[in-house]
Amino acid sequence: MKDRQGIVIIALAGILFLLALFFQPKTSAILNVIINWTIVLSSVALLLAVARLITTHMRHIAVGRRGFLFSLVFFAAFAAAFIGGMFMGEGNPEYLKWIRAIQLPLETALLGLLALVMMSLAVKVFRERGWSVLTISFGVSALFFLFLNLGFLKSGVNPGLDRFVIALKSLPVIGARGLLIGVALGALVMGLRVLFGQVVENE
Amino acid sequence: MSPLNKTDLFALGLFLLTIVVILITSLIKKRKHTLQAPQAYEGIDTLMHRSSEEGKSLLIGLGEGFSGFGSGLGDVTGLMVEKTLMNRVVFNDRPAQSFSSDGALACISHAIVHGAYKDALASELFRPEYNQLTGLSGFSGLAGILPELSRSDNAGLVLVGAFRPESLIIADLAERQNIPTIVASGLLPAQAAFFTSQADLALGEDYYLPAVGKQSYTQRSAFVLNWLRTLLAIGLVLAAILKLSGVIP
Repeated sequence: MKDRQGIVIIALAGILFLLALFFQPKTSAILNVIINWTIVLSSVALLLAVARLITTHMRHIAVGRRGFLFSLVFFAAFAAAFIGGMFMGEGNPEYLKWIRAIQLPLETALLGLLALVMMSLAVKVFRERGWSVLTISFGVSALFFLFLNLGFLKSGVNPGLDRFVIALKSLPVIGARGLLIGVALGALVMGLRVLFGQVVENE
Repeated sequence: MSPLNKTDLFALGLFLLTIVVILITSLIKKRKHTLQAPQAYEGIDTLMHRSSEEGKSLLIGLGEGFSGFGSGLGDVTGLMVEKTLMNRVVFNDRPAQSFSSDGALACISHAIVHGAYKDALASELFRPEYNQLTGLSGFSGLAGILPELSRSDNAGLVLVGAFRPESLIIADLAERQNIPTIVASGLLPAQAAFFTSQADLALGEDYYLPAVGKQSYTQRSAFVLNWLRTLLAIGLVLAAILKLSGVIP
């Protein structure tokens, strides 16, 4: 009974919040209050999660778990960012410049690595998944639209050809829309079933 | 009252239609045939057995969560899978571990993992490190999960939630370590990127049909989705006929 009360409250709150989204700007004030509550709750959750992250890494160091050096690196980076932010202020341009100087090259390197990984996997996809209609159409369409979007077929002289190229370019958008309709329906059904408390059925 | 535009009205109509279809389908108690569950999720059962038999750990990546890049309901799928999975692997030799890249998701996931141990009357076996926050952003979360893959005692990796295409690096490393991987993400760019890997992948709306455990939820959702697809297809064909015949300007 106690569980059912919770589900009813959640369902009512969810449906009211959803309806409030439709009737803006009249409901904007209420929506703002709810969004602010959500931000406060998320921030508290983040603090809790960070506290647990720190204790977990402390435990890794204490028991000498394999790879505990990563935990030491984590502590050094966390302490530097935290102390810098506390004393200089998190909006301080110097502080932000300092953080970005470390973060940007790291993320760029990761993206560079990703480009190599994607290239090698794109070659391997036929070996791993076999020569099927799906893999062939995947490979051919990826190459074809990559070539098309490079702009080689843009004549500027023949309007008919340009219209044809634009029509071809819209083909992936049509496919993506079809997939997105499916995904949106899936999300809608799941959302409503969560609101109605029907997710416990799989247990 | 502010006037609703056509898109709002259509969304409201679809919302009400979905409620009606869900209510009607929930009244139908017995169905003649069961619908085929998405293959990717079926692999999770195999990984759970492997984890039990070989005494190895199962890794669960929950993605970027509610407040990150892919904020959306999709994260609920990850939590559902985690709940079902955790309830089954509580007494395994090596505990399953889950990783999140968002504070709120990590907290809810913590409650789920702790709840699984509590329900099994084994609270003393629970350790906070069974559920970890790997980072505060997509990239740091990605970097946090990579070292876990290099351990020798991993039975498999399940990635369910909001993932970026960049997360393909995780699947690639898992492939190199011979760790079977299952990926389910609601984001289309991530689905396209993961298609190139060896991982079992849930495509399109399959992501929202987490076929783990008893599957009654999945069967019912698949039934509702089939009905909605049929109604939408009829609506689209009707709209096209009306447009061509000039009834709709």
